[in-house]
Amino acid sequence: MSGLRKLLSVFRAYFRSVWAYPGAEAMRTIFLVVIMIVFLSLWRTTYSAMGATRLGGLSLPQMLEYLVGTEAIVLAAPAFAARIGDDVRTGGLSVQLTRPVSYVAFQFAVAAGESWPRLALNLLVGTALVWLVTGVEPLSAAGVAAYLIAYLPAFLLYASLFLTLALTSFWLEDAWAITFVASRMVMILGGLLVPLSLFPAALRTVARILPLQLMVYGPAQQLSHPFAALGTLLLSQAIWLAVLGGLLWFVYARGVRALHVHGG
Amino acid sequence: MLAVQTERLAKVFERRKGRQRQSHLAVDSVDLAIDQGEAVAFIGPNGAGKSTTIKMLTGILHPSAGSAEVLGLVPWKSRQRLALQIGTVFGQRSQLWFHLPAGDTLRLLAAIYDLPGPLAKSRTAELVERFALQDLLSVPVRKLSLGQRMRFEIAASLLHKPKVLFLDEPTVGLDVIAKAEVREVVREANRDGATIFLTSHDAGDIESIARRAIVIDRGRIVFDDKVSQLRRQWLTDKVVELRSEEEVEPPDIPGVHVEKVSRYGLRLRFSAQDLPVRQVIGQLLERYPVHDITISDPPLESVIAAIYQGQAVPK
Repeated sequence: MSGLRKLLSVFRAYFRSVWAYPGAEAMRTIFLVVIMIVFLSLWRTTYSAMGATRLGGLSLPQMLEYLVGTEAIVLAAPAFAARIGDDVRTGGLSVQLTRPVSYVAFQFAVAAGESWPRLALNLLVGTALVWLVTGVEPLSAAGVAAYLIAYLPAFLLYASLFLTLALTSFWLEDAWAITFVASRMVMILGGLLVPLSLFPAALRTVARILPLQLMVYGPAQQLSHPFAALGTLLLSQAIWLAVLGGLLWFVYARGVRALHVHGG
Repeated sequence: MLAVQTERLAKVFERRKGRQRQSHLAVDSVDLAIDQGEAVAFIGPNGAGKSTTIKMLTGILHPSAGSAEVLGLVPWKSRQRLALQIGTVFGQRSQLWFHLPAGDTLRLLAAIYDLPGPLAKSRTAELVERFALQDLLSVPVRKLSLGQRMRFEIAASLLHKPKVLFLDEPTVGLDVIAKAEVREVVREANRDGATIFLTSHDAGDIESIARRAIVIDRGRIVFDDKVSQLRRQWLTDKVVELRSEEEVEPPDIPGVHVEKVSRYGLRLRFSAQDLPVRQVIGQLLERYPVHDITISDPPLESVIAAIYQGQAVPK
């Protein structure tokens, strides 16, 4: 219970810290707007050129909703590699490890504190933009509810995977390259730009086997198809969470033993 | 129960160079026994093994061999439990959150250290008053000066009333006044019963905070005694300052080095191992109409410099 209270305090502190640098947040939002405008134009042109009313089972408005959902998740994703790599290189890790709180749990609380307000902001801005540009009515309450239910385990999955990769800094000092490749894999196989339903069959099979689609595609689908196959999605997420959580625990236990904390 | 106890504690860092593995013995069979309430300076040149030892004692690093207990806990096995009872200040690293106002940082640390609400408030108020931090509570940490930040760092480390305080270069980069404030607060924590384990290259820190000095060199303990003994044993030199009633000419006594000559004064240095003090003083009294004379040990800075330059271990 006291552990949860500590993590809640960390979460609150980082939640507030997101607003400490309004310039940086404004730049993120501008980036989201630019990306969304590009994809809005691309998908409108695609639908119009193909003369299609539905692609991969999604109408144009649904496709735009889907894009808002995926971009909101990916642009709000926590940056573990930079933070942990920096801690390892500068020796700041020695301060983190002498606190009476689990290092891994602390990282999750920090990630949630930073990511969740950004997700909310991204959803608001993305929805407003789609509404302004296309006149498509905003997301449904049921869609947002289902999206948020699926987002929580998706966030834990993403955090588990990327924290595990970032912890390789304990050996490598810099895990940026590994996490860069992984984040690109999430963009491609997670369904950031194109829903899995539009993938070629072979690639779709690969994407469905991997957990990456559970982090992005799964929750975003819920915006246009609220509560459709949500139980199956949550079950898959839970199974992968057990796998990636175990891997995270293993890597952390090994890493902390092998640790060289830099600096005198 | 001892505050800190180690037996044959050792740490070997292994690095790969190409296909070869290289081993570096950073800490070599260190035995320590520090009572609760002691104030100990743990000194040595860069790379001697000080920080590695502290990191093992705080549970950050796992040792390669040997054992250690801090307040009866094995640090690397009970790191979080131990963290509730110890405080750390790493002078070159911050435990504060740079983007938060300093007051919020203290509140967050109080939550992390499990302090109940009323206790957290009273303890924070006490430290804020002690360190004169009232006007800085709403300032984001990133906007504090180094001296202001260090005051918050020490306050943060004392928030949960730690039983052992590990201080790694706590006054590095501070001006004279800020150093004096930090030293006074650490002394006060020690008077309140906290054990102090200090590493510093600053002789002022060592003299004003510690009563016992442990010197580590190339991973091994080479001295463990009172700070005053450190000065006496490490350098057997004596410094004589003489003030004469008449103008002086420098003396020519074999083995006595003249450090400074003024119109009526002299500063001389000699090794008490080679020349008996009585003999040198006798010759000076015979030669000069002495108005005043003082004999002193060399300043601690000289001792530390001697240690760092690898002078022989005292017998």
